[in-house]
Amino acid sequence: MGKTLFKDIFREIKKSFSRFLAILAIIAISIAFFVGINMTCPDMKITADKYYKDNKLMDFHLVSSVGFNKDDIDSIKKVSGISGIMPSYSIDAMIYSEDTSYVVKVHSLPNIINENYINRVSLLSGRLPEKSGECVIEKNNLENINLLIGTKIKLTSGNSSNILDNITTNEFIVVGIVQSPLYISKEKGTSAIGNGKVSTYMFIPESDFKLPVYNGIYITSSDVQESFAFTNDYDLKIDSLRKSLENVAIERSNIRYNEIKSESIKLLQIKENEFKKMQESFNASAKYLTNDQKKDILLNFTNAEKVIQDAKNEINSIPKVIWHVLDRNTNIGYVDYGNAADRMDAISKVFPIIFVIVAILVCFTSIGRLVDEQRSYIGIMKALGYSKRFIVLKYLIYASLASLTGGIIGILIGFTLFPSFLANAYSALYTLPKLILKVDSTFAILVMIVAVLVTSSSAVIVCYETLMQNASSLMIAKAPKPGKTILLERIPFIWRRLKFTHKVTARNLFRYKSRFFMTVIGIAGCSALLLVGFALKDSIGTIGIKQFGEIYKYQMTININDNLSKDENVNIANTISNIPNYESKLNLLSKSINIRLGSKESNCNIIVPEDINAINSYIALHDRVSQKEYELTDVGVILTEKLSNKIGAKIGDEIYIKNGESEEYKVKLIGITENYLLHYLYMSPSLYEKLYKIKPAYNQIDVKLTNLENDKKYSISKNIVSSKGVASVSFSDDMLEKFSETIDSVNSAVLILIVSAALLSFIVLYTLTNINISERMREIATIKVLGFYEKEVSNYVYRENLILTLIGSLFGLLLGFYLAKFVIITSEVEILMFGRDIYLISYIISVILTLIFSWFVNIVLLKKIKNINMVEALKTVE
Amino acid sequence: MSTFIDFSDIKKTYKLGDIEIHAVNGVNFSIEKGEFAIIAGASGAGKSTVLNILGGMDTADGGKFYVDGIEISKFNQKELTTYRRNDIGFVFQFYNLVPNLNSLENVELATEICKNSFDPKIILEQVGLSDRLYNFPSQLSGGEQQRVSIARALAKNPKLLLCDEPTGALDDITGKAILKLLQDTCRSTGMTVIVITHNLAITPMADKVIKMKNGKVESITINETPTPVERIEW
Repeated sequence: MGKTLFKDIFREIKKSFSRFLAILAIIAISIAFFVGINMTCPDMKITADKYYKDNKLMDFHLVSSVGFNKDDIDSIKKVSGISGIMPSYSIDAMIYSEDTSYVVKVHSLPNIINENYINRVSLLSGRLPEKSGECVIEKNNLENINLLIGTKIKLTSGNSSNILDNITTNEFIVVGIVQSPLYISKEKGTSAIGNGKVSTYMFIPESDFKLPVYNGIYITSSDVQESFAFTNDYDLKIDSLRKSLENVAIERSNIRYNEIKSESIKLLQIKENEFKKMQESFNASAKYLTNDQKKDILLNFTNAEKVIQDAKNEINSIPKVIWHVLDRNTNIGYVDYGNAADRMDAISKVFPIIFVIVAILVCFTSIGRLVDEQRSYIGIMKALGYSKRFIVLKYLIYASLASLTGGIIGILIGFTLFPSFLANAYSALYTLPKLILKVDSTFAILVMIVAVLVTSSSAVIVCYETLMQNASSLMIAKAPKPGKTILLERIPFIWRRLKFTHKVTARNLFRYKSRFFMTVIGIAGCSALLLVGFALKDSIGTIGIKQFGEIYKYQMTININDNLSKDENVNIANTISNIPNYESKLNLLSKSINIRLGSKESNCNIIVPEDINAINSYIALHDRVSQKEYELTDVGVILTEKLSNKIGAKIGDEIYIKNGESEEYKVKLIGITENYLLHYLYMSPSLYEKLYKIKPAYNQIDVKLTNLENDKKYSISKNIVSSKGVASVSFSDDMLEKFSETIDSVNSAVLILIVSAALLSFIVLYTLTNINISERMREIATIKVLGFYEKEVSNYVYRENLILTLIGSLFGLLLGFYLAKFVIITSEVEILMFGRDIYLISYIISVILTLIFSWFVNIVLLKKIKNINMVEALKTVE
Repeated sequence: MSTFIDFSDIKKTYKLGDIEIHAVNGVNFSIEKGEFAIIAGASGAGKSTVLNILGGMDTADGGKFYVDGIEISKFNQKELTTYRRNDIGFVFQFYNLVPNLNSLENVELATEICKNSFDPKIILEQVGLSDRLYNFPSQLSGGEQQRVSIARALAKNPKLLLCDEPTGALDDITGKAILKLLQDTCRSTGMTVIVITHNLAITPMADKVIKMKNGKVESITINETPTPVERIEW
């Protein structure tokens, strides 16, 4: 029995190839998108992980306020769980060209390559340095300097110190181009010199540094050799080593502090002893001296006593030694890239829903039509005595074949083309090796099974009704769907006003209800996808503009070191007020704190402005929705929006500010302010003083400038950074620019959404309109005979499509609104709040694009209408 | 009477794969204005092809034909559409009503687009369907559907009414009633009516009978005294 059945199936496929193709295509496209978008995030992460493993990216980076000596390194080596340890040097230096300068991070390259060589560079061209005065650099990305192999680079310190105190030579010749795993992002961090932004990096031989102590230690953990970067598994396994290192950090920083202190005390004691001896010898020889001589010597003694006393004071105020145990999450490249991959992942959550729904719809309609056409065949088979099960087999195999072939094509495309395309969009922002395309066979098989199950079960379901009828009634042609009076006709007010052809359209719409719903759902999916795409762009695109344009009203931020002397503070203030275009400034305290409400805790920055009346003209504190301005008072604190959501605080709640491990201050929340980047808590200085029992030490200055010209920025920041005590200078519009770059990566996601929406609407409308035309062949032929012109005929058919498309896209906007909300919230990263507004233009473009897509389908199918042969169509009996 | 339709050496060839079928192979005839003509012949004689060419639904491969002094055989597709729109009324064997439109609307579908149309309601009354105006095709009997179909053709006020086996799907009594309607229309309005049939029994009712065989005209007979439909038996 099998042979005839298969012969029949293959003939069936050949005969109705476009229908077979439609099922195949929707399955292929759905799977390609689903698999492709789901694989992009893992592929991106796997690629980075492999690169990190190959190049041994550090798991921890230790920094200390006094550097690391041999004893420090020895005691760290004793910590269990360490796989590799590499002490290193690094300094920030400046490279000058004619009129610009760049900050370059200079790293040491170890002499020996062994297990302990961490953050290995990949050599892209040339060779590694072999002797003093040679360097390797990043592939050139500087605008005004062309750094190539053979170029001589001259480094300067960028401040008053002499760079030759830190390195043996300041002239280097480029011998190779490298890529370091420390810097996969364009953003390379901040610096205390130059314009405050690290522009590029270079490696020089370790022996070219002559710093007394190492200023960083890179460590890899043996616990995470098998773990993948960016995963929870990694984060969990890394924790035990972190704890051990933190313990060593506390222990060693105390020891180092005491060492420094006791060394100073020892020096002091030597001086004191000398002084004592001198006093003794003076006392012994006093009788031989004249009065004048005695007077001079005693004066000298008083001075010496004063010096000793000053030294004693200084010893008491030696700053505490602080060690920081930094993990990969402080590496900008690692964090940015991980976030970019996660954003992709969030988008992938939307696709399956819409595509699966549409794929099911298309399968149902296409196979439904096939079964309808084959009524008499089914009747004959039944009459011949074939079982229902056997008859259904044909349609089951037909559908399964389509979905199997489509599925394989979809999986092939999904695992290869899509991730490459998407990751390609990121390649402009991140320097990484070629994307690794992972093939997850379990995932692939699972997707295939679902696809085949969905299509084959839809075949069985649509067959069921027909199969239940008896053979004789099946062999009689199915009567065309009868016309009916529709509800609209009962409203003569509207009905009478409609043009005749519009009445026909209205009736047809309601005549084929299932087609009505399917088209509306398909088109709604299309518009929704478009809106999600544009909404993503809107919300991410506005972060920078809102944060640095509307919320932060100042143009420049200066960070200054803690505990500056009064003179230094005055000096900085004078430098600032001498900036051309200077308007006003506000001193602030900014430091990292933890707050909690109930068991929910979060890290944030506390901001205390010196002048509470001025704060709102520097940082707009207002409610996002009502734009109502908040006043910063002594009653309580203001939190940024995402922070308050994170700990679940509402206005009026009492929240706790942690100070150290044990102490907590209770404060009232008096406002939740619009904010998109990082978390802040705003507090008045008097409340701060009341809680912390000390006056706020202002360490940040926000400056307002009028007419800041782009080319002046460099000289302004250079001028300020050169003042003693200034840590960094940054400009708001530079930050804004940085944020506009992130939009580029969103654009590729938007493009994907647009393309998929186009394909989706094409398949849905093509399938449904095609069936519509086939079913109404006679009707269309009749109106052609009656003398309808081509345009009138196509309008007769397409007016329905237009109305369905409009209805569908309106539903789509509604659906898209909620989907976009979901996507935006799930794809948000911890420290960012995406914009919540979708611009009107996004709605409009979504609808217009949907209309264009459906118009395109109409154009394609116009030929089919044109080719309807009146004579043939009218001859056949329905 | 003047020559209204003039067919000279009309040819039509269909290709089915490698085989050429000469559906119409040099047909010549003429029909006068206001005549009731019947084209008769067995299945495959080419009579439907002649009607399709005459009605502008199909084009001839060779030969010329004129309707009312205008050469239709040289018309392009658009001109043919206009010709169908204004000059031709069609009645089919299987009615070809739009299932989604009621009787009145089916007639309106035709009158909406042409210039000198009649009021659809009056025409439907004339074919005896004044109480079936708002019924959909599925709610009408075969004879009633064919009446709607005739009303749709007549309402356009065409120069020429072409009927392809109008009684083929109807029982005898209903069929006669339809034929009578067509004959009466011809007599009362002076419209030229051409009916195609394989049923030779009805030929006595026509003014002119054109018999076809194998794509050619076998004979043309003129009935000086046509028999009224009521008296014909088959």
